[in-house]
Amino acid sequence: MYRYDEFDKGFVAGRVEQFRDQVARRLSGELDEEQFKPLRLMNGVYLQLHAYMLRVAIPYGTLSSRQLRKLAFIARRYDRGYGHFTTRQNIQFNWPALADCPDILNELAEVEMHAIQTSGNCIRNVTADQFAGAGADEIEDPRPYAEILRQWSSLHPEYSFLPRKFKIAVNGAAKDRAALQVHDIGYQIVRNDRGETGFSVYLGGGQGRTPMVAHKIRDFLPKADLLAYTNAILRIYNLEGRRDNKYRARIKILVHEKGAEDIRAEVEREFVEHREDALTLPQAEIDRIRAYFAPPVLAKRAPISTAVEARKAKDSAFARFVAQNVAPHKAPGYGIVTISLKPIGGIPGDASAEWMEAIADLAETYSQDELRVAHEQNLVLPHVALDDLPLLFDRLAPLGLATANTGLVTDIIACPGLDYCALATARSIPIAQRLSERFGDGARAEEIGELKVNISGCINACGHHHVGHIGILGLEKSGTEAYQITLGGSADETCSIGEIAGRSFSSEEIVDAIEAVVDTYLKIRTDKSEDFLTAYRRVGMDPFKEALYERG
Amino acid sequence: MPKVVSANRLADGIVVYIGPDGTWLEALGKAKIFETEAEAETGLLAASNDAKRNLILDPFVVEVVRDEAGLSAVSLRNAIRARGPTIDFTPRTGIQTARTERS
Repeated sequence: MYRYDEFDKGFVAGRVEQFRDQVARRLSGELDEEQFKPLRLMNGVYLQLHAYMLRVAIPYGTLSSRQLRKLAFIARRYDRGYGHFTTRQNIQFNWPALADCPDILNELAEVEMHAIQTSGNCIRNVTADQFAGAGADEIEDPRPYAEILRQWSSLHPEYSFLPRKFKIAVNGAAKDRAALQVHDIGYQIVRNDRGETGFSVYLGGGQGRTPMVAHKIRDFLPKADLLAYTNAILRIYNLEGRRDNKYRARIKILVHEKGAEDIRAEVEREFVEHREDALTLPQAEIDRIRAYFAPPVLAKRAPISTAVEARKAKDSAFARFVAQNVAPHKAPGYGIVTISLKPIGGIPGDASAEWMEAIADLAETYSQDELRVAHEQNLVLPHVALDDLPLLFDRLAPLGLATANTGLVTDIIACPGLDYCALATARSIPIAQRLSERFGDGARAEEIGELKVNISGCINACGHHHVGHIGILGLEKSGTEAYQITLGGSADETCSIGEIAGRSFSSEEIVDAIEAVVDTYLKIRTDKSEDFLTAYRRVGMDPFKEALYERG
Repeated sequence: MPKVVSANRLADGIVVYIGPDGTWLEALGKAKIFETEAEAETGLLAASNDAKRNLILDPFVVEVVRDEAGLSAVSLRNAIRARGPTIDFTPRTGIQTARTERS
């Protein structure tokens, strides 16, 4: 993992003290709210419905056990005993006192964490796919490049006041697990025909009220040019992005208005013109950062674990867990374990301090002290020996952390919604809980197969409803909650924005409506191997619409 | 429609309501009720002064109804603001005393 050097340490510590002074001046009245609000937002402190909310950055979703323990400590000492993992791999605390925030940031700094650029019109936390550094299908670990982008963009003077926020994701395998094409910039690591790795560049994707799939504007960008190319994009956006209308200010609007071909040509011109200025990455520097992410030394193991096979044969719960939550690792005899933060009827992405501590202990024992946060709001143990899976499962199960539902209908992405968020128009969490209970943890969910249900409590789409195979958008209609269904969205390499099925449903109706959609899929699929998205793409909206709106 | 004046407390952000004696209270049920638009405006003005005195943030008027159970906010948003999240968010394992890291 990346470790802070003296510069990073001094920088973050300096920021904490600066914020401590700002908070003191706010509490004494020396600063008014108008002066203070941009300062608190730059340090991740929002004001939500019930209290302040602190969003802590988890760069590229990578955590150590020590860091997760610190998050647990903060949850207990300064909050109400839990935190919420978000769709951008961050964690949010829902109840911190403003007066405590400098102390919390100080605690975070002790474990090389901070809340810088988790808000505001700047370059936000750079995300990466959650199997980074471990996935069997990985071309190259995306995290060194995410880290390089993070260092370059931290407090970048030119990009601290962009027209709007700016989100970058880097994905390291052909399978897109980082939702690249709904980011402002998505960097997909690819290998060219000379065997060199570099990036395909996707520009101008995003969700919110104007969802757009990114355009691929370059097939292959050499690694040395990562910053120069990003800089070219940001310069154009900073200059030409709209500042007159907050809702038209993201780069996706600029790309849409200018056209992908024009913006590509403009980026290329800007890039070529300034390529030699200063931003070419020296190989030595790339190597230096990559060294921080060197794969852990894993003992050689047989590719098949007899312990796992024996347990699978006699324990169907364990077999389901392995089938659903364990992904192939690049090292033989190892697996990547997803710990679902979606227990049946639970709150997606919420983790208690006890869970965080227990998971930190398990990461230390079974996963080389490493963890990842998935944008699907789960935690991941990236380096688990297959032989340890029975032991790990036996420790997860009593904690309620062995739900075998990764990628299934109950692995629901949900934003905090109107239960917490000042922007929300409807609740998300109770809908997720009811759906989860409806489909349950048994044969039914398994029979349905891969199905991503994403729920947002407002048009800002933090719950990624546009790219859910089934998306649910919570709205407010004449003072009551209403839920609109979209179908056929996808966040992977076949990215698409879901289509609106029709009129919205009441809170009472929505779970039955989703069940009708699922039942329709089960009826129309050719066989179990045809997943929901494939079936939807084959048959289109009509049968689903019929099931939703022409029921007796 | 009766009204109350709400805000968030500056130091900890917690939702508060202006009480009969002008202090800020956490319970909607104990808030001072303004029967008319004009009265609510006066309440809001007092609240704005408290915002200037750095006690609270973003004061606004909340429409309420009175019934046997007492006062409750009319809109769902304000009802959730008053009562807290509608979900059982308390971790199942329970909140325990902070473990001291340095000990």
